[in-house]
Amino acid sequence: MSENGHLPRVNGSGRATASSPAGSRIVIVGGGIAGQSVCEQLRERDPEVSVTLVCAEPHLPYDRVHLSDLLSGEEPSGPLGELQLRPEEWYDDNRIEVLLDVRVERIDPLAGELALSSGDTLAYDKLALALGSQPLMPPIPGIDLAGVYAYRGPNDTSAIRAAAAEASYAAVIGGGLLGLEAARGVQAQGCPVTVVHLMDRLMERQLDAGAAQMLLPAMEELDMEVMLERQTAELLGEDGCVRGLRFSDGEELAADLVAVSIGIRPEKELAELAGIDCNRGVIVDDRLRTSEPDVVALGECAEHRGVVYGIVAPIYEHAKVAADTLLERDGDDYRGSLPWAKLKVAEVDLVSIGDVEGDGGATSALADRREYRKIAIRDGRMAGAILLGDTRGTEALLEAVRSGERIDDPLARLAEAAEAGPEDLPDEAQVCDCNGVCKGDIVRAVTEDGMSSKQEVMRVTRAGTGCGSCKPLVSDIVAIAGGGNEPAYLCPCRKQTREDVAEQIMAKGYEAVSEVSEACGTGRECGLCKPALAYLVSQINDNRHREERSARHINDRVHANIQNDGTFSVVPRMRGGVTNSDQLRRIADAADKYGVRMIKVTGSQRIDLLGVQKEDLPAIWEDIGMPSGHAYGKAIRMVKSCVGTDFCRFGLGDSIKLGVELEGAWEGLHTPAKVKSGVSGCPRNCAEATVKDIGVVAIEGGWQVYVGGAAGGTVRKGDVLTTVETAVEAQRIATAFLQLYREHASFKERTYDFVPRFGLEEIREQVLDEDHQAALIERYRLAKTAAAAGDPWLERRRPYHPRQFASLDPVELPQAGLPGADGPGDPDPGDAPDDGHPADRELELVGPPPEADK
Amino acid sequence: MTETLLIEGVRVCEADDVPVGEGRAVTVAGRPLAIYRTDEGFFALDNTCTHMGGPLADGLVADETVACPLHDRRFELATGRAVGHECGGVAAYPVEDRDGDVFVTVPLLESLAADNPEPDAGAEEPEPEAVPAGGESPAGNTG
Repeated sequence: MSENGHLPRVNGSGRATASSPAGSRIVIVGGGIAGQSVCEQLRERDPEVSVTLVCAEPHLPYDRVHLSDLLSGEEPSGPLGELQLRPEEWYDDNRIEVLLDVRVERIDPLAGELALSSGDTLAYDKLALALGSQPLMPPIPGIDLAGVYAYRGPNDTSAIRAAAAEASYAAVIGGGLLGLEAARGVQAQGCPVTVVHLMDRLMERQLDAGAAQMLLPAMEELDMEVMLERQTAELLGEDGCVRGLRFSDGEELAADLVAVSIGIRPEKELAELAGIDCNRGVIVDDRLRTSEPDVVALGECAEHRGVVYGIVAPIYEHAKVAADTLLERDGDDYRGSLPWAKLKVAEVDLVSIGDVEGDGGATSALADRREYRKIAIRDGRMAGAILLGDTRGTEALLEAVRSGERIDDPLARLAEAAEAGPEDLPDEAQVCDCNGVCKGDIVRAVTEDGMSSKQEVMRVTRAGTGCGSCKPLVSDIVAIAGGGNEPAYLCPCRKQTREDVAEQIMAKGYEAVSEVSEACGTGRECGLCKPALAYLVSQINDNRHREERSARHINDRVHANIQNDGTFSVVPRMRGGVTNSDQLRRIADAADKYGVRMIKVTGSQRIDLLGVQKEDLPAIWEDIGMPSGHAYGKAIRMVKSCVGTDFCRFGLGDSIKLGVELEGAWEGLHTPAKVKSGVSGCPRNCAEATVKDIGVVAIEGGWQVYVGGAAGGTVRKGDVLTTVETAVEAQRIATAFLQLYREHASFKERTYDFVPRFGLEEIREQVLDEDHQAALIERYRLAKTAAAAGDPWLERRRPYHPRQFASLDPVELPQAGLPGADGPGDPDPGDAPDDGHPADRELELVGPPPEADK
Repeated sequence: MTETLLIEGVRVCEADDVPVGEGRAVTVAGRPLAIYRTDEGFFALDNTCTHMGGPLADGLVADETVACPLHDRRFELATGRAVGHECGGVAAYPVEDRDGDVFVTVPLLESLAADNPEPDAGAEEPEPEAVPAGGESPAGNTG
């Protein structure tokens, strides 16, 4: 509710007269995107407060962003129909009073009144100035000639379009963003055009020299000439109509249509007249307040910290802050906007973000395909980007610039951005810049509000309803979010997410699965999620939980992998895939002694003994005398390595040493799903580290750390988390990532799902940040200390139950002849251990018969 | 119709031979059984999963059911009835804990192998299963 209280509605039609009764009301001057946005933001915050929108033009607020489409005739509908931001009903439904075709002549801040062109006065308590801007016109002779147009405003647009259809040769003054859009529009009418630019390259604020250079041939192909470093001194005319340009060097250019687009001139006269402080625009502070406390200004008329924004994206940010200020609410301050633009130039797609020069970065240019991709970094952080011809990764790079992501390997980051899909975007990534809608808003509309169609989501979130360039992305995100209409519950049996359950475990201090089962969800236990709870309880308690073996799968009860015939496989730990003759001898002898049916070298560089009876497990472990390889559980499996610098003539890093160390450090830890790792000693990558859950690759002068790779049912190249100089750093970072994964992944969620879901950027923030990293490693140590207390295969000497590995002794009837089924798990009676239970017992007949079966 | 001769109260083990919440395999007169112990008491089922023959004694016990360790096909402990799959149920046998000794009642006649001794379990005939397993073994043979 507004602190201003609110005005009883007098006129619900939305077409109010100016004579509404006095009271607490907000008046917005300006019917452009800025004025509209602030209406929306006010209504979102306060459904009651009185809002009046005063528009100088005779139509409802429309979208100027799409002007160049209108100009190039791509919008088939009427000149404004498609561009109208909201239908008429919206203003009625939201009780926004709209005064159309009414100009504000004067502001009286002392009285809190506006003098209107209609002769009425309009009282306000709070005033928002969204006055917009006028095209900047150079004060040169001939600027008033017929055939000279400013590229601004829908009326000008249709006029230019009509003129372009008639004209024989057009010139566009201004080779900036809007100038090039205007040129494209003119050219689309079949009129040859020359772009005249004062600077030595096109779009100097959005492009670097290389990208600008690459645009030129594309423009020439479309009959668009470019003249650089030309200052127009005069427009030449004949009979009041323009016929050409004369430059300051005396050269002339024939043109019977001239479009001028050299910048904007903020509309500030109204404010100046009222004594409000102005410079280039209306000066505002971080709350968007002008020098008059009850008056805010936003959009293109405002000047914030010396900057006037001529692009659409900041308007939304302005509107949010302005709405808070108008309602006297607290909120985030406005601290400036990231300049960026997405447009088509000469049919070439272009995205320009932020500071495109930087003090370093990486560029990949393909001149023949007119592709130019660059990321610029400053002080080691992402500062800007240019994507020309190939704009894949726009959203990811935008987010990277916004967050000031640390960039260690710009080229790799550039390549990675090209691969980034909508699923890789973090929730904060802004998808719709016209309406300031983030990915998270769209996802929530689907997952929480139950919307399933793109249209519904667009209607509610307004994503994609501005310029529309983000519609495909919106639709992708809706599809991804709709993958499951339910949140990712830990188990369907309990409508609780992993986070919910984890929170309860932490809050209540649960130490065992049975406690959690009883307290959470349905209060019953469920076979599907028991192992998930077992992991969660152990992880949260840093392995100091109370182990309940009955919550574990048989593999984790007997520390071996059950096979299709009920026998088990035995894989001893072989760190880094390195073994010796002594181990091999013991393995060979054990294989013979226990009748191992197959000895298999696995893909994880170790040896698998297949076909071992459960009862034999303790004995074969004893004979082999090596620790468990954990080849049966959701745990650290192995760290595969190549021979690295020890023997390989290409080796750059000691991959064996790092592989053995990593495996020794990590072994014994349980993880949400199995974790396979690799360390390669050079980029030839013989250990296939780039397709491991965690991979480390030695490069010249350092090590790259990869995460989220897979080469199983899913194949995914890992993402480069970072590049570091020493193996010690690589180990720290890999370990911090491992712990982050242990803490945040869902049960059975492999890293190839976790990394894109959690977001590489978020992972970097957690793992590379010094404090976060130290905390992660500390928790890893706690968990590891407890886990390392015992190699599980030592349970051969201290079983958790006398019959941990043993079946019950067979019972024979005195008279033979009954059918014996040799099913799996059917132990050989001859091998049954004798621990006080006679192997052959007499059938004991007793009565009376039991009544029930339990 | 075959006559059923039940052998009542074959002693299979001591109660403490089976950890609470788990199962153990036992062969009674050549018939592979799985004996389970829960907070509710003892249960006995055929040890052979109707899906792919997995050892049900090694299954995970929860919510009065057992899930086969190979592909998570579930069966009711008390009845052997199939839960959530079409592979058919298994036989369930009366079992009793008498002062620390566990007794199970099994049918004796060979011809019974074709029939199902439990009416409950007989509701669903075991069928050959060609459909791939919906569940998955928690660890593949990947070393």
